[in-house]
Amino acid sequence: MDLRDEARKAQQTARDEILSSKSLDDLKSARTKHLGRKGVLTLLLRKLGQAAPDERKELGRLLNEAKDELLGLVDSRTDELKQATYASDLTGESLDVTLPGRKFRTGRRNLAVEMMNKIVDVFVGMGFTSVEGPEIETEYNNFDALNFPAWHPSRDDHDSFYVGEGHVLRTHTSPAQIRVMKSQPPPVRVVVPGRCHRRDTPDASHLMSFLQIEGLYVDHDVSMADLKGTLAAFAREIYGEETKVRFRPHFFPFTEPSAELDISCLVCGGKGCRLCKQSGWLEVLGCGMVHPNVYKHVGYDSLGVTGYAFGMGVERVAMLKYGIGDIRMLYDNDLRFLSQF
Amino acid sequence: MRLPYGWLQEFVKLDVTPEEICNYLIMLGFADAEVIPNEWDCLDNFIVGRATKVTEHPDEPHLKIVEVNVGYTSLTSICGAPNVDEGVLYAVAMPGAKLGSGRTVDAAPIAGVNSECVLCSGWEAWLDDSKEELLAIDSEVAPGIKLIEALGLDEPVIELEVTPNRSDCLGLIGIARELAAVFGKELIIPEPGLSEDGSEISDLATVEVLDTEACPRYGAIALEDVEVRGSSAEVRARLRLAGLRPISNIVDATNMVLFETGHPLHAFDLDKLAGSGIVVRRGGKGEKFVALDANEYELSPDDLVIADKEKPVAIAGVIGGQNSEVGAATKRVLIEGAFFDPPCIWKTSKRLGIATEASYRFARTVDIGAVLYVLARTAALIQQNTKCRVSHGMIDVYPEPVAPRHLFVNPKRINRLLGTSVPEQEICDYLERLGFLVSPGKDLEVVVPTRRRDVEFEADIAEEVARLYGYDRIEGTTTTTCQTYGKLPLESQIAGLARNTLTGMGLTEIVSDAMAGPASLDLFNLASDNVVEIRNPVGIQNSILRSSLVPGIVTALVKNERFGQEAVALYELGRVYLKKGAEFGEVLRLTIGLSGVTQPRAWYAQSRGFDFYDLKGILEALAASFDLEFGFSDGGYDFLHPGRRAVVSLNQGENSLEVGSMGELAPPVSDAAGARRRIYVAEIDFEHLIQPASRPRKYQDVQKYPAVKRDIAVIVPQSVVDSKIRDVILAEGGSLVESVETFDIYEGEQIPEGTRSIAYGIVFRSPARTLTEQEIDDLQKRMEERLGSEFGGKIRMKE
Repeated sequence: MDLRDEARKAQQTARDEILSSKSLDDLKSARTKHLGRKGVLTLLLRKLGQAAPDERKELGRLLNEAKDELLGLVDSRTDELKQATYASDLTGESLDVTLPGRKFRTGRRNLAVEMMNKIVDVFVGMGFTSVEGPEIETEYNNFDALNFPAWHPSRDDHDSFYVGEGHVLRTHTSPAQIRVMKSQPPPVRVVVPGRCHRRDTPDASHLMSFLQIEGLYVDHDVSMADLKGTLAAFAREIYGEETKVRFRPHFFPFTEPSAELDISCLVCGGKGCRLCKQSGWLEVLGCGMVHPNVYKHVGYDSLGVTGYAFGMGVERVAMLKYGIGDIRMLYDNDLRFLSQF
Repeated sequence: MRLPYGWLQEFVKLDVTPEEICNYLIMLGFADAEVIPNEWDCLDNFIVGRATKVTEHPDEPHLKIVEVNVGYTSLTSICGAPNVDEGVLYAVAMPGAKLGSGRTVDAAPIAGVNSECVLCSGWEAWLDDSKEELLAIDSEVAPGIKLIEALGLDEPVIELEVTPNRSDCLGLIGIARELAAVFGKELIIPEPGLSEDGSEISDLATVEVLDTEACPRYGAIALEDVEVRGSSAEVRARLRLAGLRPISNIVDATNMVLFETGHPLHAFDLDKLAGSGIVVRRGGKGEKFVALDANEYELSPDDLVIADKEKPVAIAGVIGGQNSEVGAATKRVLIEGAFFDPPCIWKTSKRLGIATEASYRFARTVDIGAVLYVLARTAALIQQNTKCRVSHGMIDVYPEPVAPRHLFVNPKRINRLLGTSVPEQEICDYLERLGFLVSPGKDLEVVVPTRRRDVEFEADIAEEVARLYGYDRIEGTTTTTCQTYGKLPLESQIAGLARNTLTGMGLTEIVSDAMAGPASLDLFNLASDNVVEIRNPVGIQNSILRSSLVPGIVTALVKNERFGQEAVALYELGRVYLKKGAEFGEVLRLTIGLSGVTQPRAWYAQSRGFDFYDLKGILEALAASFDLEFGFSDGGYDFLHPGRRAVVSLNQGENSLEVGSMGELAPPVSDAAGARRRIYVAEIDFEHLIQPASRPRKYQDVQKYPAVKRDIAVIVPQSVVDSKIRDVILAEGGSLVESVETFDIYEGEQIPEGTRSIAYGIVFRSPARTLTEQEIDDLQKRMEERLGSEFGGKIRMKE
């Protein structure tokens, strides 16, 4: 048999095997057998050299045509087989999609901590740096430097917890003001989140330990209008764009002028309801312009700088926002509560 | 404080409703100002009636039959009071009325005669304690009108909060001054109108002040030929509206003035003062004193005492004494008006547990300049209503008169502070309306009245301006030229990432009490020498600050177990408080606690409880999230199960730093904590992670060369722990071992007792070249030989 016949025969065999292959695996071995490195056609191509020179050209063409045809057949058979597989998969592999998915346990961040971080983020966004201070604080930082007179009622051991000599569990985050101002010259622009402690009898709105956030901004030409604008922005960010704010005069030893900030009632929007005791307003924080005596204590020139400070109870913010009536729920560590937020 | 609206109107004439006034008061700084509901519905069935005819009862000599004109008709009343006068108006309780005595009026025969209504005493009409005399109505009203109307008890009452700095507003005039300033109205301060028709004061009494620091000013005025009786019904009603209890015409007058001016006064029976002299001195140690509240108090040198020549007669500024009380027999009265050192009064009031209208005001400070005015005003009020003679002159011990403060304030600076542009003239106007004297100049010179000791600085003046200008008119601004930018401290950043990771792994964050009790130290066998103790705790269970987060999280785990939670996976990031010598430290720690099932029963899986390795896996994943690695070795807290605990260390190259402890709670501890399930806890010093977690990292080339994976299974005695085997694999493989994963553990039939088979999946890779099968074969062989020689391990052939 001459090479020509051999080639024709090989082509026919390969064609039959490719077309009759029943699976992609069959097809792959057929392809290797005939067209692979050691395949029949490849071997024939190698034998071209033995052919008479005048036949070589034609034979070469013949073999290449056969190869091209077979490769085309492999491709089309591959496609056929894949389509057939898809079709059977699609019909035979259906699931009960109504079965529940595999469960993942979902954890929650703590509402109080989360609220505190959120408030801090709002102020960081407005250019405040967050810093922390110790909870075991000197009486000096907690009271004296904040212009509390020596006989102020809150210093009483019925109201504050005392520790060691000259130390108190901070009753507010305000002593951090003193630490920050003593450690750097103006401008100072910080928020101080943290735990505070007061000797209160726990009830629906009081705890012995609670979270506060202090804000302090001291620079040249910081005004009460800035304070108001900043806190209004805070209130809108936390309670929603429609929230209105009201500034009312108040008294704190370490600010002058002092104010309390009210927001429009979250339940009635200002019309008057039980939550706001018909007033339309809810008190959320205390604030004011830093008192000249505080500047004296930290060694700032009280004529050269102006600044404001504010402090808010974090739990109250959360309670108002979510309609929680009892502050103790926040720290009961009950998953039925925690997993709602 | 309570403001009866009609009374307030005597000092400023306002044509706005009480509700509107409340809004103004709130915006002036008097929080929660509101009109309170009328509290006198107990007088619903009380009216005013005129006694038209009084006759003796035929059978009972102490009873009278009184015809009472009640407007629409005439009723009969049987009355036992001594003073029923024809033509006088009395308080009358109609059938259905409940009397102050508790009895309900009911038309019924008394001693045979039908009594259709009751003529009331002050006690029966709910006003005060006077039971004998009938309550006569002095004002000319028509019989039949309601009693509350006749007495003015129907007028609105405003209640408000006065901040501690505004002691000048603890009287009606103070509030009236604020309102007059806002509305631009005139403030009406009553002239005393005194007629000094008595003896020279120096002939009547003397005053000696031994402690002028605690009592910088002491004034007195005397009354002679006084007739002590009940005040008029109208005065009594007014005092009740203000929240005070009527006593007698003398005491009521001092209380009226207290309420008008905020300045407390006290009345002594002058004839009960030994030597007719007042001595203001410190209390003696152990000195006993019976106060008007009938309690005996033991005085101390910390207390300021008003004494006569022999004995204390009052605790200064706090409460009077029974021994000098004005009573029905009193003929001569000495009225005290003084200024006492606020801290001194506050301390005594606190120490003795006596809070009175007087101590409340003296402790907040009163107007030292007003002493003579309030004395004159009190004497005048008594004189208007009672026959008496007022002494000529007043005693005034005032060695160092307090001058009004002069402040120099700059309108520009005030506007700068407020962020406003209030014209200078307007500023002056506001201040003058509040009673400050203002003189123009480069800076304004402001004279601050003595009643406003709270005004010390320009900032205080700015607040006055802002209050009258209106806090609500200050326009909020947020523009700033501040050269700062906002940032979070590293600790918060890392803590935030840890919270993300832990929450993402299905743990819920808790916050536990900062305070604990010594019982928790005992239960968890924690050291007590580094614990911070609270000097004045509320109860033993809150007497220390927590030195570990574990007791808190265990409490939460147990509580949630009790609530029926199947899976409880919690964490807390919080401070613990530690004492080192005299120093205090606060350290940020992380605790993780698990109890219950991690895999609930489901159609696709068997239920499985949390175990040691769940906790360990959480810690490993947390470390990995920061590209760190924890090591676990024998040991750990005493309260952990000795066979199921580990010390946690942070691996850093060659070094490792101990950072905490983890494991299963020892059964006795978990029993004592009330747990029914096994509890797994870890506590890590989070501060140790902050720097390593935030160290700078550099990009490393992604591996280009293929990995070779091999499995090795080795049968070793039970005593050989997994980490030893992995150490050998790593030691032999050197840098070519990319990872070793323990993927199977088998104990059972096919292998000898006391042994187990552990299988490892090893990934080999070189960063520099493609590894050959041959060299991996060699490496694996060396590993197997070494495992054999070191642990007597037999290599299980892969099938």
